[in-house]
Amino acid sequence: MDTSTRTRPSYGSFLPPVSPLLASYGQFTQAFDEYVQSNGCSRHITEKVINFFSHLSPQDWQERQQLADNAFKTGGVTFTVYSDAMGVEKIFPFDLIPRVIASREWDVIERGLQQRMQALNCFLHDIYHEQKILQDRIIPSEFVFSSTGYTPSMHGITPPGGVYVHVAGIDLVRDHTGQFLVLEDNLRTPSGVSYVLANRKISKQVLQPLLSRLPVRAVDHYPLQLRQSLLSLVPETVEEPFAVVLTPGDANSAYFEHSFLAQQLGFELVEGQDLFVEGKKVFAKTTKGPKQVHVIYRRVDDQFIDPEIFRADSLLGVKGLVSAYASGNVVLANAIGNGVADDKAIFAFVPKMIEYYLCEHPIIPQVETYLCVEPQSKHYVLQHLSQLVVKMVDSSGGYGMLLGPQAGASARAEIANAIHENPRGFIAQPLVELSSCPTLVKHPDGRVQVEPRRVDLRPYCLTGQHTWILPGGLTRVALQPGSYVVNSSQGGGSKDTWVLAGGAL
Amino acid sequence: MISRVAESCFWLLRYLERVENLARVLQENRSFLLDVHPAESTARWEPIIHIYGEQQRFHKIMGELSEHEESEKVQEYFVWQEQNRTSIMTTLRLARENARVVREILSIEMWEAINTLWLWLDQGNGKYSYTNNRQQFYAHLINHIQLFQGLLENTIRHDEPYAFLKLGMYVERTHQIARIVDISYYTEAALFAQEDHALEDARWMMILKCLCANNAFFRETTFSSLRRAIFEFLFLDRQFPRTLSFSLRQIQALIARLDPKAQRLQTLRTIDNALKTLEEMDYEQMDRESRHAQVEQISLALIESCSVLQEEYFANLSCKAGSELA
Repeated sequence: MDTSTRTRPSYGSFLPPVSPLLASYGQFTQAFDEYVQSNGCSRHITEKVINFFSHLSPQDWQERQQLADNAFKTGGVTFTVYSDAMGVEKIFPFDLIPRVIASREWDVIERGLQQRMQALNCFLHDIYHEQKILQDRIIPSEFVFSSTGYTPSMHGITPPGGVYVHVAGIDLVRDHTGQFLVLEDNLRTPSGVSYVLANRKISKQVLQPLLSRLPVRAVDHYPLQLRQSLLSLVPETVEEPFAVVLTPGDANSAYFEHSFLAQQLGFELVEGQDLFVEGKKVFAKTTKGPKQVHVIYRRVDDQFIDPEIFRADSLLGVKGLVSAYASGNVVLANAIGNGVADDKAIFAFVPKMIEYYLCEHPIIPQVETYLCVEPQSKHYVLQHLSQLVVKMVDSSGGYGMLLGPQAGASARAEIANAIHENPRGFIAQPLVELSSCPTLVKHPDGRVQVEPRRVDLRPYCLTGQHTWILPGGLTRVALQPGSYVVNSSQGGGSKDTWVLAGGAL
Repeated sequence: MISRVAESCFWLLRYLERVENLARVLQENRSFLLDVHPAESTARWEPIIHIYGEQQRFHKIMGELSEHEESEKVQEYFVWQEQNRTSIMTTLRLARENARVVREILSIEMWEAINTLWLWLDQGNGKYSYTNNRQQFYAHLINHIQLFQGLLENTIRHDEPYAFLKLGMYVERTHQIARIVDISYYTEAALFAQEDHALEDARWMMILKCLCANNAFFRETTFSSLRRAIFEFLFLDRQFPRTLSFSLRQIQALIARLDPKAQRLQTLRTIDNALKTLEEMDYEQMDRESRHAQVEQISLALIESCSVLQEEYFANLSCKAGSELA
């Protein structure tokens, strides 16, 4: 049996009074628990939360949970799963118990993310211009040129304001010591922020008495920040900038988020067919004729964005968009070609980028990464498949991932073959004992109980003239007992993330 | 406003207006049949099947019906049948799909109103209500669509999207009025031989109720011939919001708002023509056949104006002659 899922009882941590739902809580032996210390006592920052939930009767608790579920349903806060030909709208399960982060911990995360964003932006600019980091042999150039995200047609193009990564979602995990580590960077079209806002809205409804007693930092101003940071990049000569959100369409998994953000930003929501390029300018087809577009917050992947440059069969993009972009006539967020920087093999070099461009040490450490393309590492990976997590370098959403310790022999053999065939396509990382957080669990037999479930954290970073980090972010939770996989497409849920204001703790 | 989005707004309200009218027609016809008991099947539910042009498909899907199962089968067909493209289920799904596509245009309240109504119908509660309290079922649909229309008036700016939403509502309403008035044609056919005038009058009263026009009609009208007066009222009254004249004038006003410089003349011209046809009819001399012919004529005029509207506002045509490009 996997030892990490074994639990030990917590002695007296939730006293008094103890809600029947909390009484039997036992944390994982190997993981850092967000609520309970290894000695069984509750963590200081979570005391008020525990106290609040301890006073809830099981009925009351479930009623509040039901209220939250209904709010997501009527609000249509859904994502689409492509399990069969027809997409099915699903609710991203929301757990009432918040994840709490102390202010001093958040300060470190905030500084660390700002540093990381700055370095990644420098890297992208460098790669599409002088390529100094390659000439200085900090990163082997073959790694960059072989990345599927590397886009030669972006060479020499400087995006408005020099910004590449306007919106980033950086996935953080916490190891068994409680140390935050960067697990991966999402620099192309990271999603999920709408759930952060929706979760908080629900928390305000059903946890109002608790929220009023804790100095939790607000998240509601995210859309305003995003709006300002995007519009700040439009040349001042444009008097009334026209901004749009570009979606692949209502069949897309994240359509709710696209439409929600468009509404919150006050931007028009458009599809590729609604835009066209003429004279290197982008226009929207409106009921009053063409209207020039100055900002495109696009949620369409690079490969589909311009059939003239990328996939010719794409119906989602806009023909000629890259030429308009290259002429500086439109702000495109995020920039094209960012995939080279969030390639999971390039990820291994981010600490070096920070040292190279900023002359600083990385503030947040990151998960160790073995590059299968390096013969020694490849050998090590193949020898230790049962202990490692293997990922495809250009995938996201938890697709194409192998969890060594939980995989069967045939799956391991399959991935070993794939690594042999295309070593550049894979990396491996040790399995991090993700931290756990109390979560209300409903068992198939109807029993309801609070049990530990593993979580990660995706903070959102916005860059316009400056970099701004949304206090909190999306806490995803693996709902299966012992599972490490938190992706929404793989059966994960979410929690509200409460960053406590400075001075509080 | 993005043309594609404008088109979705237009259709969203068209579909909702369609559901509301259909719900009321089913509700009122059911209630009508509980009061009077026509012997002829062609006077019972057949007129409803006829006005929606569903004769062939209905009989193909539902088969031959005995008098005793007719009422339930027809309602089932028009409420739940997925193969019926005009059923409430199908139409509300389309309305909700369009709302989902343009939800950034709608207020949160509007979106939640339509989404809640859809979930009610789709996920069991609607079925429960349908089985246990049919009158309440139809009332729920109608009330929640009217809630949506109230939110439309009071929770978003009255700008371009609003105009397209309202345009969809009135365009569909004109279609529906024409159809509903035509119920009389099919009923009278059945009753012609019997000279059952009481039943005919009851049918005309039911038509008024289908358009919520019962009170308005009796408050404002004195008449010698009930049938002619109702027909005239539903065609010509300028103050009541569910008449052809009122709806067409609203369409005129909305188009004038969308196109203040009158650059897109085709749509406006077809609407003017429809209104002219309406006003120049000879209401004195009408019998059953000529009323039907007038309804057909108006319907054709409406269909034409819709296709012109489509071309002038939603097709990419609008992007050929733009000022910004020139």
